[in-house]
Amino acid sequence: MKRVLVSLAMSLAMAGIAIAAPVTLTLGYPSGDSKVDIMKDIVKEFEKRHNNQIKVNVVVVPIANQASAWGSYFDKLQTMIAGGNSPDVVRIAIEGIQTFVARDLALPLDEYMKSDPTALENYGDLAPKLQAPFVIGGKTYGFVWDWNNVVIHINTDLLKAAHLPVPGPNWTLDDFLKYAKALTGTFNGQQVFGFAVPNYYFGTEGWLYANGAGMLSDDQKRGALDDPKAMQVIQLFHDLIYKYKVSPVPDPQADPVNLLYSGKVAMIAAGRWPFGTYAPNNFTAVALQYIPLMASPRKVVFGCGAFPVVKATAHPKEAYELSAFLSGSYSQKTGIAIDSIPCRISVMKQVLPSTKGQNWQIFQQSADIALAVQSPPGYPEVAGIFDRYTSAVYADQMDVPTAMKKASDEMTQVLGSQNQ
Amino acid sequence: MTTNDRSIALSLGTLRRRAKGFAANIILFAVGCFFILPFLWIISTSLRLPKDSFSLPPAILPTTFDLGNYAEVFRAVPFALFFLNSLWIASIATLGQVISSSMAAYAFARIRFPGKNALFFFLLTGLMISNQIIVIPQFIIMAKMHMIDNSWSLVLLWLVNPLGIFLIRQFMLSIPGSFEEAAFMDGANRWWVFTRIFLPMSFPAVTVSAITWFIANWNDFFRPLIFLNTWNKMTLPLGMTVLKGAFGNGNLSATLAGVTLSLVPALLVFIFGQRYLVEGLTVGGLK
Amino acid sequence: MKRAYSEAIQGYAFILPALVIFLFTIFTPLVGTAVLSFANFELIAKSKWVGLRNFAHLVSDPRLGVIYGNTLRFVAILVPLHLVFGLLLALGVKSLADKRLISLYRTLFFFPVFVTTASVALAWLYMFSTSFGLFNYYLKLLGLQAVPWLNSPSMVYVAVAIFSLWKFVGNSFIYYLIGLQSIPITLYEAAKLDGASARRQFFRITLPLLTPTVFFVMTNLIIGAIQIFDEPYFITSGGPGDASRPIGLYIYETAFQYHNLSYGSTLALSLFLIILVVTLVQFSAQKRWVVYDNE
Repeated sequence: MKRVLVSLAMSLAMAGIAIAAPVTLTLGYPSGDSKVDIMKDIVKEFEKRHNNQIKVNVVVVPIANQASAWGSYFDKLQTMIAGGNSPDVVRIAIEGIQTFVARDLALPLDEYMKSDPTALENYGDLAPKLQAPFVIGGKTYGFVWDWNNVVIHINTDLLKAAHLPVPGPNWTLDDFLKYAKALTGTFNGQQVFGFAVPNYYFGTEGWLYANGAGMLSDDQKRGALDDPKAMQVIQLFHDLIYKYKVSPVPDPQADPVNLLYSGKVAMIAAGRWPFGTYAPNNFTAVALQYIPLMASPRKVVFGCGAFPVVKATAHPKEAYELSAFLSGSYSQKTGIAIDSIPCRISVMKQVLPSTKGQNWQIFQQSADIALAVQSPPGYPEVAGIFDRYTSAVYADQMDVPTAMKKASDEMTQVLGSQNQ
Repeated sequence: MTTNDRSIALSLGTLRRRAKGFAANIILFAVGCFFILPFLWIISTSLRLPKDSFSLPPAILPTTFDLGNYAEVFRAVPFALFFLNSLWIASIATLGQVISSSMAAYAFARIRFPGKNALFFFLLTGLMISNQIIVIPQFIIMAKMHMIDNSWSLVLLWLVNPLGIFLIRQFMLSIPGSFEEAAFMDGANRWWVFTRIFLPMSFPAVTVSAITWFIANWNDFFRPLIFLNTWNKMTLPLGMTVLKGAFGNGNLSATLAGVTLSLVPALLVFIFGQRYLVEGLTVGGLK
Repeated sequence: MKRAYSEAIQGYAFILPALVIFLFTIFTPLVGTAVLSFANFELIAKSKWVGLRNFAHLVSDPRLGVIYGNTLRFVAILVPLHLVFGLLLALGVKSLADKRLISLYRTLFFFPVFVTTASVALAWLYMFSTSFGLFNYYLKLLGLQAVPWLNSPSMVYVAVAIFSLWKFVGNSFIYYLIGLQSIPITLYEAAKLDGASARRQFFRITLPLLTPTVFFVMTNLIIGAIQIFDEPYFITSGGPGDASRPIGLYIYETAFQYHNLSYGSTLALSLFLIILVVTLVQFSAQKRWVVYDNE
């Protein structure tokens, strides 16, 4: 009897201790994103809702360089884990989730979803196409928070100067070319180009999808830039620079967003992120439109981000709750004001109208026709191959068929060696 | 030669000398302009609205004086804290380097001991391995010693400077041996000769190695990135990347304001150190 | 005998601090790098011993030929430029009479070395931009053609040379300056009394006594140029294509962008051996041309 009482007392005491001691979680957020302060506000709300039983530290993970932001983010995460202070929850975008899972760093969340579904706050509100990339091999690794796509931004000041209306959604490639030519010239004494070629993976993928092609094969095991439809797109970009002369030669590390709002280029291919630059500079003379319709049905590329839980966490249940909260409507409403798009359908409806650009609706409409950017394991190397060969093409140093064939072959090789 | 001819010859000589001096001045001035140009652009742009940053014709001189960008820098990053972090780490590391390098350089320049050349070359191999690659094994070592997220790890890794040893040794090799001999004959010991003769006479080399090492440590971005985790311990270059990230590419002027601010400490260190690069270090006793 | 023994002890005592720290902070990691080349290393996941696979890759890597070729090109172009311009600047500054001017130029020419390359890269990219850049703007004003500074495999080296000189010639400059200062003025005075011309003084006094400094500068430049990283990374991004990608950049990308730490270590190791050999050759050659006063 006495023994039973003692063990009962001990269990009660231990339970008491478990209830009394607050859990501290660490949230890792990359420094390249401008939202650290906002994250701190969001986690305060989370702490409040949990009666301060769960405390969250936001840890900024410095990014070594923008060019390989995800690569250096990963390395830093790995060094943190190796050094013994792994974050519990981290921000990961679609470009990194495959690698994160492949390296066995991510915690599958399905069992927690089943035992505590309320934390998710209506899972169905997460636009299904956008949530899909974070469900890998049938297991859920994160809940999407924000996303971005690629459309065309047009500087309306330059448009007015050329006496052109904002193009409609079904404008063709010929229309686009006419616009680009009309928008190339001198304006206010400055040289203006019609269009800045998107010499980055995400932007080009947008155009490839619009032409019914893609960087990689559908199973993401082979490079597909040597497909005729893909080569068409790259050849188009090359001709825009050298044949029609409506595009400037891309400089390394040049940012098209700067070119648009400073009026040097009339059209660029980007998502909602440029508004993070437009807003502080009070630039509102912008109109949006889909990439010209080249192949039906229209497909718009998207990338998204979530907050997966690190497998090495000591508090999986609490970490799951944080991860779920971060994709909730409070978090999305507060955190995704300007430069990306919330993933919840309900929040999209609330937030997007504040976008200061014409045709902002296409951000919401495109969620239904969105196709994920191809981000296999080994993404950094694949993107590196893309950069190398396109830079050679756009510098007029290599012809398109040769470059694309070589790029595809190298990509296939890289993708094949990922399992070693 | 008549007196007239001689005076003409003299004045021609003076003229030629003056012309050469004049030419040298012009060229140096031109080169100086080339050197200062990018900095002027950086400073001017930091005082300007970001929209006008890249316009042509370029505005090299400030047109507006918008100090708001500088305020932004202090708001976004705890500049003063990071500055102090960088300062103490770089200072102690440099001090340690000066001691270890000058001692070793003296030995390699002036003392005979077996294996001297081999050991010198051995130390030099430290320069030959890629800086970034070696950080990985260094990280593993520090992790095993539980020194991750400890700022002292950054000091420890910077206490030996093979280039400094090399530089100071070269310098010491040019110091005539007569000094040493005289001192030894007077009964001085090695340490005295080192600290009272060779070290002062090598001040330029020691100063240059100290300055370059300080700068290298100050600007080192890679090691703090990997070895530090706590926000408050971070150094200035890390803070700068956060700055660039926080403004993306949008607020270029603010980024450049941060850049300008981070130049100030480096400049001060150099100006302070200049005194030791004094001309004509022919310390008394040479003649 | 005893004297030689105590001298040897003193020698070791003086180098002890540097040596011990070196063994710990540089040599051991160096060995670690070699070990990493033989393993498929992941920081936290399981590592596997892959033996010589990385070395097989090294030999068969199709990009390596171009990359080493680029490295050689950088060395051949940049080392002579820095070597000569650094000296010219140092001679020029030293010949000035006004001490304040000397101080000013000394600060000015050395200043770019101070700054982090990242922070000035922005300004230089703006200057080199093909369509929107400062240089081309002025060239067009003068009626000349715009130059594809960073978009042509040949012009990109010119761009790097210009940037590299601006950023780093201060290093050689300052070494030369202190080297020049250490030459006793008495030698020049004596030479002038003997009627030697300026040219003769330069070739008979300055240059020979400067050889220890020249040796230092040249060795340092070559070791640095072989590993060159800042210029291609911040200015050219290795492009266009692979045209300006040297081995230093390739190692960084392999290890830190593509997460192939072990192959990166292999590359770094092979580079290390190359630099080692090159430096050894330089050291043995110095006996022929470097003049030391009382070795």
